[in-house]
Amino acid sequence: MDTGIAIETQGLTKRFWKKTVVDELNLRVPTGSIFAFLGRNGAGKTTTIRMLFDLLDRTAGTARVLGLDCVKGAREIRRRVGYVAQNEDLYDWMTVERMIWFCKGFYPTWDDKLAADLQRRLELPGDTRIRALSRGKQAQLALLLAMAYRPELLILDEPTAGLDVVVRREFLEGVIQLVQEEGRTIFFSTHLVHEVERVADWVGIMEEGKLIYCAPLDELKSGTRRLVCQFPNIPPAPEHIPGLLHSEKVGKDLVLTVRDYGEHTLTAVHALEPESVEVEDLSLEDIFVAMVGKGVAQDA
Amino acid sequence: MRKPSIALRLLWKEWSRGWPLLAGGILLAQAAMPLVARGVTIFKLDIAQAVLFVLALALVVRGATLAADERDRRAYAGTHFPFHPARGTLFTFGFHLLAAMVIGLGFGWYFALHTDPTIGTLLVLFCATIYLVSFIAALALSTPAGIVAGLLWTLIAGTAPFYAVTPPGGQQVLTDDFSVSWYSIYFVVVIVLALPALLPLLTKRVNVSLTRRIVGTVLLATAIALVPVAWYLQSQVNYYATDGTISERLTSPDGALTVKYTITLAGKNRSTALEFLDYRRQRAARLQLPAAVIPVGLVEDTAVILVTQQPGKRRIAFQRWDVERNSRATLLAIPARRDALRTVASQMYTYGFEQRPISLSSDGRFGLLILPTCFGLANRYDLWLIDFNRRQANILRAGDYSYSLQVTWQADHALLAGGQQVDLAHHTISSFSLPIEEKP
Repeated sequence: MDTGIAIETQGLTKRFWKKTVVDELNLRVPTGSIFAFLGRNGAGKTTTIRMLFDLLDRTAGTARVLGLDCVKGAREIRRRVGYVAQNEDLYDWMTVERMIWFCKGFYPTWDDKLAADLQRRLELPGDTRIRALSRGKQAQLALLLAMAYRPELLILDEPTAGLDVVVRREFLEGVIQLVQEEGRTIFFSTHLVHEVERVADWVGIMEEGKLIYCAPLDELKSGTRRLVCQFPNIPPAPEHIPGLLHSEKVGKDLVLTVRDYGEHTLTAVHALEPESVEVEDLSLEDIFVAMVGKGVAQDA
Repeated sequence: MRKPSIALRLLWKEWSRGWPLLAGGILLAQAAMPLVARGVTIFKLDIAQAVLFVLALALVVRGATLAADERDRRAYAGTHFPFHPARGTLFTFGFHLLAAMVIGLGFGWYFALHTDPTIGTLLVLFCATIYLVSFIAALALSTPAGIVAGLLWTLIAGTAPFYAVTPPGGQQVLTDDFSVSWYSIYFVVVIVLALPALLPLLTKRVNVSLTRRIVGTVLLATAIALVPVAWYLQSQVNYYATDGTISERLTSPDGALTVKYTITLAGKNRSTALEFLDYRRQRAARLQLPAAVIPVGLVEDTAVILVTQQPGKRRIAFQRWDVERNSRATLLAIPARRDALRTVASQMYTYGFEQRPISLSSDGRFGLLILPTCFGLANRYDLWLIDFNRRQANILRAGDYSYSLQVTWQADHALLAGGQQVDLAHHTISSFSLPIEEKP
């Protein structure tokens, strides 16, 4: 049954003794979206994904993937969901072809033609042992193995971590191409924000186990602005600014990052009596830093 | 439809990474066999012991690294494939456990054929337990912990196996007590049954504190340690300090004839020097034999019945040494455990020569002999009746605890201490009791 939601969690919580790693997470990932799951290292992204795959017991809450309970339907989820984790430890004594042959037996939906096509496009040498491949090629092989059975949902957990810039770009281009052709749901967890900006259409941001933002990327970007306010003297404290994410005093300038930008924002800023106000667009990375970096005004 | 395919692929996966160690271990063992047979040593270590140690090290590393892979959840199968995460781990665990046993068999078959069948079993179980200990310790703690535990296990529990594989010319130990095998089997079964309790560690990353893991491991190690302790204590009774020289003399009832013999049991240079002295006729004769030899008795003042066993041979020969001609003739031979006669000599030395397990009838027609049993149980003995006239030998009692042999020879019977009599005509043994006359 297609509910239009690929992943849904309600109050999902994970505690390791006294430390809460995931705190009442309410997440909805629309079917067909490319969802960037962002957060700093240790924010709880991987823990969340592990609970989705029933690789980790949850402390509280529920989680459903493709409409299936993540505990009762764990096997079915693994059958229908592709998963690429960071530093995948493939069976490095096997050759690429052997690894592909080995994996295909576990999936009824395995597509030999697609696997061969991916192998050709990713330029993966069949007779080479995996241990002889570069880390980038190993990550691409992991992607092939996760996609060749045509999963309805592809979960990528920091798949490019540790790869150099060129390889990261190659990998992401591979993902983009495939996504555009197949139209699948992608749940992309990473802390390398700038790399998913051109791919993602939804964004969820985790910070210290909590989901602090979840919306379409366009909505986030269009509603978030940087305001550079110039004052004749020392700038005043930015009080009563709606949607304030971040503020910084630079000389006689007061730099404000706000979300839900609109006329009401400008009205509040002009109340501070600046000489001038410049409004700038922000990259996703800038927005991310403003949200999770120091000086975040969570309740602004 | 998919299940057989999944199982076969998982087996294939384990085979694809397990065959080098399996083949290497078996090949190493086979290549060492000719050297083992010749008693070659490396740095004063028997080649068989060296090979066993190398195999043990390989199994320790294999067990620890495999478990660490599973523990650290780096195993691809556990996180990606549409079946229970523990399934891949169980295939890994089971396949390599079997491989460890096959490696043990690949080395143990030689000893099973040439010494005692149970030594083969001992080596199979020893290899299995090395893998198990390393695997479990690495699973509970870490790879280094698995390696350390495996090495400790090899040193502690390896006492019996390492002595058991000494080559034919080396020290004889009877490790083939069933209890050793039972301890090992118990251990393997317990660990295999305990594995499901560890599955949460495999299937879900459980945040277990270091303290808890250490306490758990200590408890597990304590339970496991009971096995080698029992094993070690059990095996102690089977060891005999046989290296050295044993001297004894056999004298006729009137004291006129004496056979002095000295058995040298130092390593491979085994030999026996016999000296026949006839004080009545002022004669003497000497004989040097490259084997363990024990005189059974004197016959007709001119001959000595000897029982001999060549090193490594599984037969004992009874020979007649004609002193005047200084010639020997084999009367008959019986099957025996390798180095059984050496063990007899050692026991005579250990328990005192009055406990002589060999006796010859006064007319020289019959002999009784107690030998370590042929039926696989150490510390048990068979009682043989030797009929030199008919050239026949029979086991009268098999697998008996009794080592003593106190005989009163009669014309057609031999009375044994303990209330048994041997019918010399029919080669049978039966109980008897002396009639008790009641006083009026």
